[in-house]
Amino acid sequence: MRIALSLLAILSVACLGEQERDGAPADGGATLKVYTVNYPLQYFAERIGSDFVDVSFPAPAEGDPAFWKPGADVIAAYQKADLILLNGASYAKWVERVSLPTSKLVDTSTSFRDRTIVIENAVVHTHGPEGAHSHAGTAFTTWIDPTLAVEQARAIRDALTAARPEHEASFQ
Amino acid sequence: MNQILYLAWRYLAFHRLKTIILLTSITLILYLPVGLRVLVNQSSAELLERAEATPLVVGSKGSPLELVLNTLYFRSDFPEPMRYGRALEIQSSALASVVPMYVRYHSQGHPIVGTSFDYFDYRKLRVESGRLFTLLGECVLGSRVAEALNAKVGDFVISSPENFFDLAGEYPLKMPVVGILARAESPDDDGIFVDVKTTWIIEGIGHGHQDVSKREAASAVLSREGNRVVANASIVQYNEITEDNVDAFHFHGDPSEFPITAAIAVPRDQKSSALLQGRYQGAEQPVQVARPSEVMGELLETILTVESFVVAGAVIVGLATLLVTVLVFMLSLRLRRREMETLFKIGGSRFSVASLMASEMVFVLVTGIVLAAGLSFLTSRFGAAFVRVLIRM
Repeated sequence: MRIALSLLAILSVACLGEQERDGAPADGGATLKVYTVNYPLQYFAERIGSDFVDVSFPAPAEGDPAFWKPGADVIAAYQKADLILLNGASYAKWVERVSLPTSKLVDTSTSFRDRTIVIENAVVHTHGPEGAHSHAGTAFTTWIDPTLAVEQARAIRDALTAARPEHEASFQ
Repeated sequence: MNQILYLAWRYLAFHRLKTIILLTSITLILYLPVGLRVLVNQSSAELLERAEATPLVVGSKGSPLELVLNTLYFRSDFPEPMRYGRALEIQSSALASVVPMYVRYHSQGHPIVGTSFDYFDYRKLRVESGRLFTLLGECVLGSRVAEALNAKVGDFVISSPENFFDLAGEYPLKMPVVGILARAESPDDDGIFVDVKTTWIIEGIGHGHQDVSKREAASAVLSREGNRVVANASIVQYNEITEDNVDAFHFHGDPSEFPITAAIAVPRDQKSSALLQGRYQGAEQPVQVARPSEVMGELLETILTVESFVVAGAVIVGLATLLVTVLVFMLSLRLRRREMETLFKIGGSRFSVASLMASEMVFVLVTGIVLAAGLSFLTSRFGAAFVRVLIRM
């Protein structure tokens, strides 16, 4: 699975017109501490950010990261990150139940929010004045679609560029 | 000379009521304009300091003063809400860093400030005990709130419903106190800080309840047709978010459409600031970008105009009081004619008697000036604390 993801990520980054990396930060600027909510985003960030980023995805290797719930200490680590890359599309539902700094959040699926696939046949219920509603989400494995993966990679590139504009050329 | 001063002192001490009244009048005449000016200057400095530390506030169209007072000082009625998505748009525009604010609800009279984790960094607030919130439903208290509620880490605060008669509306949320902030000598000492999502739960936009597909909720289910379940109001809704039930909490709708009262925007540079303000200028725009320093400056200008009138009034009243005081002295001299004749008869010279009368007046005047100066010094020293108390009231 990870090999497939890696190939997909390489394809996506190639679509963005990847250039030669400049290497390690020559100006001694601090590396960006980036936290992600899944492996594909971690991979994209590492590939795009190269040596200018220190990317972490602290979920344990066992278990499905989509349904992983971090503990208080891990959330505290996310809070201290320079950038937090979210997958969006209702992936990592724990994000909506914790407090993360708004200024550091980057929802990589914002650009294609209207194209996400809503899960049908989920239980719809009514129990109050707000009417019928469902707790169903959307298909969150967005990176499987190469076109969406490219958009996510682009969102990461833009976020890294905004955070470290001096390395813009390296992030292209 | 000593004898004259002694006699003057004895006279004033004997007529202590008259002396106290005269002293009080002279002290107030001198202190009121000076003290008022000192107090107004300190209030202005207090209010402007926070306003100048907040570059831009974005909110719905309406009164900019209401928007700024609500966002910066957690005062005034809550302004017309704005879409949370608007804050996200500004954030993603890379023109400014954004801190969302939702200051609408209260707990025992203290404002519940819905914001993001960024707020604490932005205002340089330090945690005195405990930690900042990490989970939905957790709260951090300002130091004065903690004192007023006698609350410590591990205690709970409960949100107060806006309308006690709206039984189906927002319900009180029991929030664990996870941290208490160090004293900042600012309105932050008076706030109960929660994540903005927690305020949405207080509002009822998000909530947690039993899973209708589970057996324990069966008694609340009225009908079940395919994937459509209708439950009655007896379904258990949680009024406290715990680690056990946090997964049952969810929001209805798109969070970008959820309400906030304002967004504090910190532009990256002057150019970004100008671009951001330009973007939301125009009558057709549903939002306004307020510059707190300008808004508070205008408010203070009005206050200073009023203060000028008050000072002018105080000066006029002071002059009138001074004239009355002179009259009191003159009448007093007339009443004391027999006393002066006695002094002449026992050998007192005209100069000695005049010196005695003058000593009494000078003593009262000098003491009044010293007292007024002392009060002015105290005002300049402790006026700031007094102003903070006034602002909180």
